[in-house]
Amino acid sequence: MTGSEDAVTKKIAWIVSVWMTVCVLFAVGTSVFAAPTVVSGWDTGNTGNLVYVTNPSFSGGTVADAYCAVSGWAAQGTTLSLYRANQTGVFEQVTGGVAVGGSGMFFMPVWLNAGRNCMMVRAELWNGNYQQVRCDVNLIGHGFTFPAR
Amino acid sequence: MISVKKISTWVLSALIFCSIVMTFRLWFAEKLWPNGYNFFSVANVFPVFGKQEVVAPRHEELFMPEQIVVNCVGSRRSIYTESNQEFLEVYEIAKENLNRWFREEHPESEKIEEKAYCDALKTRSLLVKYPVEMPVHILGQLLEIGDSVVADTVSTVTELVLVAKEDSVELLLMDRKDGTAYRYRLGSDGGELWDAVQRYGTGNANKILSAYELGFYRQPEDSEWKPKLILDPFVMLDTSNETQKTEVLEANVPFTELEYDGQMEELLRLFHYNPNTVRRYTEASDTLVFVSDRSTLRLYPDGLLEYNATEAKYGIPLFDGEGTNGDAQSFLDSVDQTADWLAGLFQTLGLKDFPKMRITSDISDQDYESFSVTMDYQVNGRLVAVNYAGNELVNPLLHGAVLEIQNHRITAIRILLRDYKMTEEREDNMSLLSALDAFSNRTDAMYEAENVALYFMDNGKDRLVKACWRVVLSNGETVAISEE
Repeated sequence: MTGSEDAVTKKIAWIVSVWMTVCVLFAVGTSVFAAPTVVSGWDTGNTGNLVYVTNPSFSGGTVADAYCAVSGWAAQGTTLSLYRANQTGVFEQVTGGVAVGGSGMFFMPVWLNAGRNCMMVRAELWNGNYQQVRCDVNLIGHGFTFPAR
Repeated sequence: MISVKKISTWVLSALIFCSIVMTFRLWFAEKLWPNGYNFFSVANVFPVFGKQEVVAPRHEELFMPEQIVVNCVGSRRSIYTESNQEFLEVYEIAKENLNRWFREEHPESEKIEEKAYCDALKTRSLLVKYPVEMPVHILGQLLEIGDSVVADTVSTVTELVLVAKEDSVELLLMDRKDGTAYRYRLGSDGGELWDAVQRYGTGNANKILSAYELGFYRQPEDSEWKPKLILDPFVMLDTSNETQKTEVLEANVPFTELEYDGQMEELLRLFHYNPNTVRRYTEASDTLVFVSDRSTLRLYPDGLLEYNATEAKYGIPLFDGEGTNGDAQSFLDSVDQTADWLAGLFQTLGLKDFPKMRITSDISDQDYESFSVTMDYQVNGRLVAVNYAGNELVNPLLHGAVLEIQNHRITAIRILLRDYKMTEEREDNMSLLSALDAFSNRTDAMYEAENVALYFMDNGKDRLVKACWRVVLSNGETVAISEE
């Protein structure tokens, strides 16, 4: 091996090692900051004022349309996830990684299951601060009509 | 012999008469025939083989609702605009029920809370949404009812919600002047509306929810959260949050290939100019200018047409009648006559059809004898927002057309003449949320918006017209949001 070939090999090895380090750091970083796949229904988070849910307008309300857009306002820069309780009561992620922009508005579409849907919106900041807000909603059958107001 | 003499006398008399008439026309009216006149062309003698007449829209078409939302419980919401085939059918159903409201001599009404009014969107209902505030007495005229007692209670509306019940129909509305919401009971036979809601609530807009349903219509009462943007409760928002594909239009200027002596003469006559006496010149910018002591007409190469009469009495007369009662009916008559005149303009320019246009100005506080009206083009159910910047010599133009009418005379016109053609090209637009974020990123102030929608945007320069998001603020300003 000549001197020049040796230098090229060293250069390639150096680039590969830097690239691999960057990849590992990125993977670790994203896994650390990614929202968990399941959360506790009792946890309200370690901070407040990150998110305000406007739809459903109050937790425990009743709707007749299976399509629901969980909406509201959140602080710019937060990342939102939506969780729904499964049959065993574990809140599993339905939608995740929704970044909140300058308007602060968000909506996360979800098709409701018939009956009770226990849902949770989780807002998370890059520094580990997060807030969780419950928004339960009951879907009634299609044959049902609201009484005259 | 006698008969031959008689015939020659008649022929001679006819010839003398013709020479007098032709001399008179030559001296006082026009040339005997325009340059380039084809003596062998007989098409114009028989109009049936000649130019197809451009049919002007009637006032009802110019004031059509922007959209009709059919809310059928069970995720079956549908939205119809004029681009949908079913639009007119649904509109007819709405009209039938509104007719009942207008014909009531003693309408049964009650004031309701804003929440009850907006909640109507969550029941089986039909929402008729107008792009501008509609005075109720004008609505009555549009529905050919005339004066109605309901106009004594409600002055202007933007939305009308017909709620279908199994055994009755209710009309919910909000008077935009004072913000009071009303519920009117329209009789006990609600079956037809109920069936119509079932039939037309096909679910083509399941993922489109109102700002009221999403809770973006007010500041939260139980929180100190300060939203940067609050929307009108009836703004419909696409919650799928996907990029939107829209058509790309080709904006053609219809008078670039104007036959100078034929069509131009016809055009000048439309503005009540004598083609032989009007002074004309071409500016350095290729703008054609026609001047008389009564008015000025300018045709800019980019399609802008400007006409100004020096005095109201010298404007273009819309019709000969004197009857300017200053009421809603005479206003609509003026609108019809203006549309007829515009149809004449488009026909002269060689367009086969009247381009789809609608009135977009607030007509609620108009004096119906002298008024100004703005119109905008509409293609495939989508409005074309004009944003003509102008320059130091030409004022900006923010509508397809702006017309001033005084006592049944058009005294000023500014119109961006266009013949829009749909191209094969389709353009991806950012999602609604991205557009709202882009809007809020520009400012720290709080805003209230009356509408957020995709409009075609014509700046008067580009040949291709693409759609972009546009926020219409409550203060009347509009903000276009593009990705550049």
